[in-house]
Amino acid sequence: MEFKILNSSELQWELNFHPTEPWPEIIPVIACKWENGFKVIAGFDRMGQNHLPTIILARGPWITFNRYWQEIPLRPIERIRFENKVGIDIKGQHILAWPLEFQIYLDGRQIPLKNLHPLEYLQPWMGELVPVFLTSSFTASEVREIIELLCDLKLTGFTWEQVYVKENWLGHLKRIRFPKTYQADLTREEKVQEIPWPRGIRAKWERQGDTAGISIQTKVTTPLEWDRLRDVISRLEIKRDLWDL
Amino acid sequence: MGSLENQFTELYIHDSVWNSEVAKRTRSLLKVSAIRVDSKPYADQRSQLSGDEFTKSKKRLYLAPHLGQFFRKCPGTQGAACCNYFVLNLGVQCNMNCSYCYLQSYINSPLSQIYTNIEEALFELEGKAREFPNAPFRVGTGETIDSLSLDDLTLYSAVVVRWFQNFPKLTCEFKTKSANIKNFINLPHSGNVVVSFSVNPEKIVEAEEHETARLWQRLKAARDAADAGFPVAFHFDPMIYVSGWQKLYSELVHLICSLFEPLEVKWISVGALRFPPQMKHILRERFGGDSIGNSSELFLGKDGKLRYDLGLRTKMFTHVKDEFLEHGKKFPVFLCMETPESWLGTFQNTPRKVKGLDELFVAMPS
Ligand code: SF4
Repeated sequence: MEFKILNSSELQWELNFHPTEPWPEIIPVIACKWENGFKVIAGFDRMGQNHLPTIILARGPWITFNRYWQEIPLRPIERIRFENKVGIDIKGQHILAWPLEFQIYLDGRQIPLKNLHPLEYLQPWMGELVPVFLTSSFTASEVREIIELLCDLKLTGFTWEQVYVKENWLGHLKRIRFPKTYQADLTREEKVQEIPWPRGIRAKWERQGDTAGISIQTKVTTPLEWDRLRDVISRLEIKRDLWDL
Repeated sequence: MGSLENQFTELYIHDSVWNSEVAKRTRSLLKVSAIRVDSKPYADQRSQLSGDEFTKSKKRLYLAPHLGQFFRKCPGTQGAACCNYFVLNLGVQCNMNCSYCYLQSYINSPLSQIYTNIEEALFELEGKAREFPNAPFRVGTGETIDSLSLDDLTLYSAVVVRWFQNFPKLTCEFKTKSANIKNFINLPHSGNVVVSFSVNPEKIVEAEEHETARLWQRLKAARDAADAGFPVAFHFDPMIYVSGWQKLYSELVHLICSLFEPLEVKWISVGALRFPPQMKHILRERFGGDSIGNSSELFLGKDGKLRYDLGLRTKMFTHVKDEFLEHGKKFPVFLCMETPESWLGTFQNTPRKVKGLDELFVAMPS
């Protein structure tokens, strides 16, 4: 093992797989002697800097690189980038075609690889899609849902112009992906609102997965109120055709 | 369906069963030459298959004894009413190719397999039958492989029919989308082997059930089986929502009613399209974006499977049930892998309280 101060240009950086976490500042760059130079195996975010404290190991770079990073818990796409560098035959290569920023965005939301399969089909929309995601604050489950819906829509012939709207994007995607169910739910919601609910009750037609129905919300503060509410509700008529649409 | 002799491009036979009857027959019937192996080929490929690998697995056949348990309770689905079904798996993978096939989410082996030790399977079943002499087990052989489509290679149907003659309390179900009944149809039997056919309107068969027997071929086979005294059954499963579905399914019910009497039909099960969400990827790869699995309006159910809206399912099931009623014939219709909500919506009751179906839903030892 040797210790040297080197400039970035004196090091070889091809194994840089862009680890998500920054290399700890107090630890020097680690490199292995290789042919006439030094191949970096850790500390990649220092690339481009000069006067780099560097530990030089007298070991084969690929084996050392592989052993070291195999031990570190990497995020799903980060691991693909790493495995790609060591030549492991892995699934999910299509994800590497997406901009690094977007890969980091997805990893940051802990999205499992299986949910990223649809990206394979969304490649032609990459230019439009990536900036939308990067400037949004979608939750992980919203991202998963959006990717899935977009894939279905793309494969059934929709264009980007048809699928993208600025406001309530997820709602729009659901509306065009599930037009019949969406329309039926909308009609039912209108009918639910036509029902003369007693004061203090908030009712709406609500979908949860494969089931939908009337969800009723209220607060009862006194026994008297309860009696009154029960009485009014028992006289309410909800036509059966609300469910039979 | 294509001819069997060209269906496989690779054939592997385990050394220990090279001279078994099944192996000899398979070698003589298939055009591809057999490779003798002492371990499972492609054993290193254990991860989830890609669409392409799945398609290839249908073309590679491996004959070997099964070393695990044969007889199992049908896994059913979480939260669904259970019809106490048991499965006896005599192989894995199917030589037909339905777009919605659930095996796509289940199989991770890169080849099809036929288990060569049916005697051991039946021995295991015999043990259960003797342990619970009064339990009227219903046993199906068509869960992980079609019961009859590869029967010309195995002739297992004949073995099973003969075996069930000794156990009249048990019921066996051959479940198929083929029309291959010739290997057992002329055998004496005890009336406890039900020959069941999954059916769908011809338009759906053509579009989604690739390499299966046409509807009329299945119905003709069912008629022949009934004529030979075998009870028959039909599975309207998966029902698929397409434009004009009411008419299509009404016609199908009409066909069945005109060809069969209720006494000949042991049961008619009804279920709708469903599959786990992770199967979508393989569907996209194998059948494109506009296949029924990808373009249908499906939502996540409580059991984690994608299904049609509950209201629509209920409507579809009620339609089939009412169509049968309309013909004035009392066929035993029940729902397959459905939630209590669907049962209530369709039958206004839970399965154990529907007359004629109660015996199917009685708890059994497992
Ligand atoms: S016949 Fe059954 S097992 Fe075979 S492909 Fe079709 S659904 Fe799958």
